Amino acid sequence: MREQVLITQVKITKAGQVNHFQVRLPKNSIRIIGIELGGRLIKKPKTDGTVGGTGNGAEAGTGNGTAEGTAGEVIPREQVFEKQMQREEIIRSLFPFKRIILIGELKLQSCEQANIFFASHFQLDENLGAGDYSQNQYWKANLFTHQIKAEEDIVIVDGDSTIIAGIFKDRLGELNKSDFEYIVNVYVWLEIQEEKTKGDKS
Amino acid sequence: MLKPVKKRFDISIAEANKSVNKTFELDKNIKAVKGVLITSDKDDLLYFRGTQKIEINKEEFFPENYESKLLMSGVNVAPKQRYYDLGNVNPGNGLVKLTFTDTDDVRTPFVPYRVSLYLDCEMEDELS
Repeated sequence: MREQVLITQVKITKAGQVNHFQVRLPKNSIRIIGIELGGRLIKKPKTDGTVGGTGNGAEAGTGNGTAEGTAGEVIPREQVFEKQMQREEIIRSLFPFKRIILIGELKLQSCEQANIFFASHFQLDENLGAGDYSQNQYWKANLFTHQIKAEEDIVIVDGDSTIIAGIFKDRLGELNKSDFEYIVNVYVWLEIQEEKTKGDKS
Repeated sequence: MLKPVKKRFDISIAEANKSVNKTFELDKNIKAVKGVLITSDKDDLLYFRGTQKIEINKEEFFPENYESKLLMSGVNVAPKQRYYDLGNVNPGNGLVKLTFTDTDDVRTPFVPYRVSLYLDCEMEDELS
């Protein structure tokens, strides 16, 4: 027996997009032993859409944050969020914790079993530096400096099924009312039957 | 007697959105590869932009598109626990193949950077 990982890429381009995908399991798989998530941001939206408009807010705006010929008034992003940002600054100064950024929700189901076997939030931790007093204006805690060791979420699901069905729902774009473009990598760790022994990998 | 050694292999990423292939050779007296770790001189670029495939003795351990961030460890991890545990891999012919791919991510504009692959190995002591 040895371990193998299958990587499935899910591309999100629209706010609130729901993406259905399938993961094909190899014939020699014994069981699914873990699920891991990763991702890459391709494009940030140029505008955050409209306020008071009737159309699709994310699509109504143009490059500089204004729109033409739409039913409602389109307000540039800077103006829309100016007051909100001021409030956020005040709140941040009062509370040491920041809100975790929710990117999306993932659900996986094996075709051989009832119900989903894995459901998770894909999110960014904004509080990595909480309690770290070594930070200063020149050096701050970041994902790439303070991340803990990446380990998969352990699941034990029989590998009899040939296909795993997955659903990923975007929440980042939905919450921000804008179209973020990003890729989510879904890692499915398997235990497989080795055809011939090459090494001693456990 | 087997003693633990750490091996480091470097590649340079000079162009954005390109793959770099390199094969490294382990010493003959290395008997097992126990762990793997990836770092860089510009951690942010490696974290956000890097993916890689790693083969040891022609056996694929991490497939293409496996993100580098999953093989990195930050300062929050104890130094002794930073390596990704591979078990006891027989190095066989001793060839380690790294295929690194750089891909655009809006959070980090490209500048040339170095990628270092560290292997936690067990070496046979020549004196014994």
